[in-house]
Amino acid sequence: MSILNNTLKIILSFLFISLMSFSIIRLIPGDPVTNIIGERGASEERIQEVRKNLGLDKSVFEQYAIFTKNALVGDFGESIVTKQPVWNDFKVLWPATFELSILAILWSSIAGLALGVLAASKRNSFWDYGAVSLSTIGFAMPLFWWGLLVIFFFAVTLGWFPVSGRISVEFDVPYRTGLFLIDSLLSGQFAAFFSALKHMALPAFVLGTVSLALIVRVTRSSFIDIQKEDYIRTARAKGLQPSQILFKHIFKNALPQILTALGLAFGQLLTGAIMTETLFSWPGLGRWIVKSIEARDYPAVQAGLFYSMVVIVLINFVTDEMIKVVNPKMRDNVKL
Amino acid sequence: MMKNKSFVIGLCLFLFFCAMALLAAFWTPYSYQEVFEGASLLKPSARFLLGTDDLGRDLLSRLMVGAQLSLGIGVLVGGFAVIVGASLGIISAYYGKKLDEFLVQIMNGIQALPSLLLALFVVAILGGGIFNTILSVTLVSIPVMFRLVRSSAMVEMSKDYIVAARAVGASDYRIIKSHLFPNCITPILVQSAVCCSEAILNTAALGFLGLGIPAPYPEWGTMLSDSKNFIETAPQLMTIPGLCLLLLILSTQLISDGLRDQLDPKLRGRS
Amino acid sequence: MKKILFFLGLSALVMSSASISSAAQNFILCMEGSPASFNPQLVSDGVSMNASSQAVFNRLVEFKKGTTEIESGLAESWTISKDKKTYTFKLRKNVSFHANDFFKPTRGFKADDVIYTFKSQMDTKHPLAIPAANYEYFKAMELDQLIAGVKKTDDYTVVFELKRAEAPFLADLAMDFASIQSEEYATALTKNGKGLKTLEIQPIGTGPFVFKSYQKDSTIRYKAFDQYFRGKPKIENLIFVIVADSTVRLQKMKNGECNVMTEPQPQDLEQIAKMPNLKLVSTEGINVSYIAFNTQKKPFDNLKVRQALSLAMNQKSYIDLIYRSQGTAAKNPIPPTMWSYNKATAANVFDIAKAKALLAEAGFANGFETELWTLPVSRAYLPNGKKLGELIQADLAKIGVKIKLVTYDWPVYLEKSKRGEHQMIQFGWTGDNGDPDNFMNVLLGCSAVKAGSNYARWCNEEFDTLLQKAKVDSTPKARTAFYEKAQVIFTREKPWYPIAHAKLNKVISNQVTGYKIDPFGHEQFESVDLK
Repeated sequence: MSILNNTLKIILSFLFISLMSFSIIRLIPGDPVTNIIGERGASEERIQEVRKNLGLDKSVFEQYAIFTKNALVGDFGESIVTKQPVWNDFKVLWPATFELSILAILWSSIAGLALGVLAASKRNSFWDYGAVSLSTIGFAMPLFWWGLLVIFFFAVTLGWFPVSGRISVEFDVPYRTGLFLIDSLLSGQFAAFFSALKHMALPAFVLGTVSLALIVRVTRSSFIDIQKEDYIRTARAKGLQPSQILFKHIFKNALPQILTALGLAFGQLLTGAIMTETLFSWPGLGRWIVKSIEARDYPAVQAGLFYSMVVIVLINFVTDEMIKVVNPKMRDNVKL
Repeated sequence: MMKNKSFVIGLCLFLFFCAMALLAAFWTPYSYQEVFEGASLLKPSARFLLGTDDLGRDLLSRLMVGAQLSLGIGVLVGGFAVIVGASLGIISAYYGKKLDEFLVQIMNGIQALPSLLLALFVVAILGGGIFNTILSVTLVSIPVMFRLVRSSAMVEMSKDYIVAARAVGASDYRIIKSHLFPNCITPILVQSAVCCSEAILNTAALGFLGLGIPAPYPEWGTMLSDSKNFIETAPQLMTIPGLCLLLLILSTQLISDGLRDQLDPKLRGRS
Repeated sequence: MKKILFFLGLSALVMSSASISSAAQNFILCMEGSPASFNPQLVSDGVSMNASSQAVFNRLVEFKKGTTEIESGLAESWTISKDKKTYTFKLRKNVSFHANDFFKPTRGFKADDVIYTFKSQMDTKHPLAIPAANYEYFKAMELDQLIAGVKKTDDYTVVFELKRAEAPFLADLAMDFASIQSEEYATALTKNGKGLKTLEIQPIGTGPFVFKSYQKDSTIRYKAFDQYFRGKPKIENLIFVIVADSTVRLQKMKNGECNVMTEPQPQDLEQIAKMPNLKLVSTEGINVSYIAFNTQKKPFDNLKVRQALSLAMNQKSYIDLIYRSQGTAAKNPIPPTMWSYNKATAANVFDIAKAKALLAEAGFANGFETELWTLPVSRAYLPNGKKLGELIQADLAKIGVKIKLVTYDWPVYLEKSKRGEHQMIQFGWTGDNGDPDNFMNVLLGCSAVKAGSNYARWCNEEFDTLLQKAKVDSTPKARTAFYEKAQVIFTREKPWYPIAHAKLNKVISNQVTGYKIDPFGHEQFESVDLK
């Protein structure tokens, strides 16, 4: 593959993503102006005036040209609802989603790997059945229902965790990275750090459920596969320590599959984030996008879609490349 | 062994919901729309086996009709995904080149958005309603089916017998029908069950967000979002539809896992 | 794995001790949405008003707490000329504006601030008008067409000249968009390069609380203003926490994470009333919900059809099940707490036999099929439009009228109904200023058919003439007579099926004292304290 080819690909991807994020929201009937005016109604002249102020009186092509030109330099315009640059909203919301996603991935991959390895090494034991059932149920779990149950049980009945929010109100963490876990440590407020962690526990738990299921599944099956391979038998016959076999051989060979699964899980987090953020009043991107769609906040939706598509494309690209590098023969039917 | 057992469990669960939906077509304890005066939020009793909702309607009747909706949508979407996704996948693999690249790009495009967000957009663009919900949920499930079938078909394409058949001059239709398709049947079957479960989940998620299946149909996701405020006063209103949803999705996934094991010996022992 | 568990355990320990120490001076309101802006001139939703005008600003005249009566605000007193076209306001002295990191006021409140507040909204070319701002509310109340001029005669006297006599003018000045901005702050913003946009994110007012910070979609923080002219508020830190989901909001309230909670769901109220640590406060809201019949469409142009459908709807069950008894059955377009409410008009009657007879007379013995559009958003006046639709559908089926329930998401719903594409539609209204004109003229006047807010698309000359007369006259007695007569015509002609006037409910914790619920839904905390 030549550099030219790659550049072309990137340009095409950019055009495609910008076109999608621009047009999807405009395909939805109903425009922001009607939403601003509400139950009250307004005369035709007033509506035209508002449209003009929002730049919606220009032709669609003109609007698209302006959008792509600005998007190239990272300027997504001004939100119709908050009348602030979209970037201002974005820069405080994405760290919330990012922080939550990272924690969700972290716990689900650690727990998932542990359970998966355990299940594979003790096949048909209690652990194996348990891990398999857990992963099957986790995979089938409707997150919105699960979230409500978790809130009801852990926050309300037991009172172990706060019901919602990102941090306890008495802490006012100065904005540096927007990631509360890091900002609180940077400003030396350890109590704030723990508060943030505690607030994050339930939403991250719920959000990580599906990833956990996926990772348990993939880890277990790839470990079982690899155990059957000849070189493992050879290693066993040579009398290597089981732990050595596990880490040196099996783990190394299962890694590409697990990484693929991780990539997949990460990509799916945004879908989960929409539900989780709504339930836990988590001020993140998922909720923001849905709310902006409802308000027909064109610039906000455009920015949100642009971002999520770029992330997904990047994740796909990275995992694809990883598979190619690690194991060119691997098929892409890991699961799903 | 374990897999067979879970396949049987999945099948039993699935048949249970089928029976429920089938029964609802002929008989429910009451009409799912009937409002009983003064019967709001009743606890389960002999008169209302699962109690009533906040408007005073029989929960069991609504649940049964809801099973019809969820199952119906799941099966339909599974079917559509097979028809569209699988045939495109085979065609793409068979003809290859430009067409293949084009189709792959289209599917990439569809997958560029998180699935729920895409479904949400499609419903918002076309408007709610049963038909549009099915359409949006189907659209979301096609790319995965397409990819799986395409990659299986690609593997077949490289095998000698197809090359030979082509050399002999067999027609495209014949090769696809008698060679390619039968060899892709396993991933198609397995994935159609997955599509079915995803469709049920996505429909319920849309319902929970207040989109998708319109009132007065008792779609389970809508029932859940309607009753989340009664989590303490009438917990059965949200636990039962949620549990049904979980079990139905679970059953389709167990079936898909079981199918994979049964039909594809190479994969036996894998998840 | 172990490390995480350790951290979690540790965090639980630290947290439980931390939250006790500083709780006393924090007052927390849990509310349902995020503010769109902190400039009250640019907002139209309750959440934004609470976050800006109510906490940070004052107006020339204000609504007396908990009522719709007008009292003095930043204006000490006022006089109205004989022809009702000149209003003269005497301003309060020794009122200070807030300060923030980059602005320290050098002078107190005076006439220039009033002039600036109104002139910038009237004239988009005003040097201190926010570029491209549309001042929606100001225009919606038609003040741009009413006010001829604003001028000062000295530093503490302001004179408004009106183009015509308009009775509701004083009430308009008590509304949120008329909050007084600091002219000095606006000038400073244009000079120091921060720009007038800053008014939307860092407000400066004269109100009881000083704005401190806003964490998007999460928390808004205020501090008590120690120079507030009515005296420093008792709570030191006022915090608004945004919790969108009503179920979660209630759970937070129960967990002691909020002191006041907005918009509890009607079905939770019974349970809340029983909880020992929570208290329910309610008041009659200034609102109405209704089903509008599109009178420009068949068969709703026929009065008999409208009467028949009205007879077939069981209003009591709607109040019981949708409002959970937290609403009053409506019969007039205005709520009973508003002056000029006509008690004598006929209430809605539920009589299926008569409904059938009337329907047969109208030529629909076998009923007909039609659509009912259900409200897609939850509003104080109607918490769940979909469920109301399901009840109405079941009711009307009994007289053979088959209802198809239709809904769109909010912007589409508004757009389509404004164009009159609906047949029957659910809507409602929350009053802006407690004046009957703000209900009847906005929702049922002939001019509102074109503006789109008359969803019955009903233009009755007799009714409209009465409204116009009442608007110009400013003796309350004469106005009352006109409005009472108009309500008789309304109940006779049935352009709507009025459903309910919803009560406004808030949940407060037991420690809260001095909290008064406001009929407009505003949140005011200047006299609130914690036990």
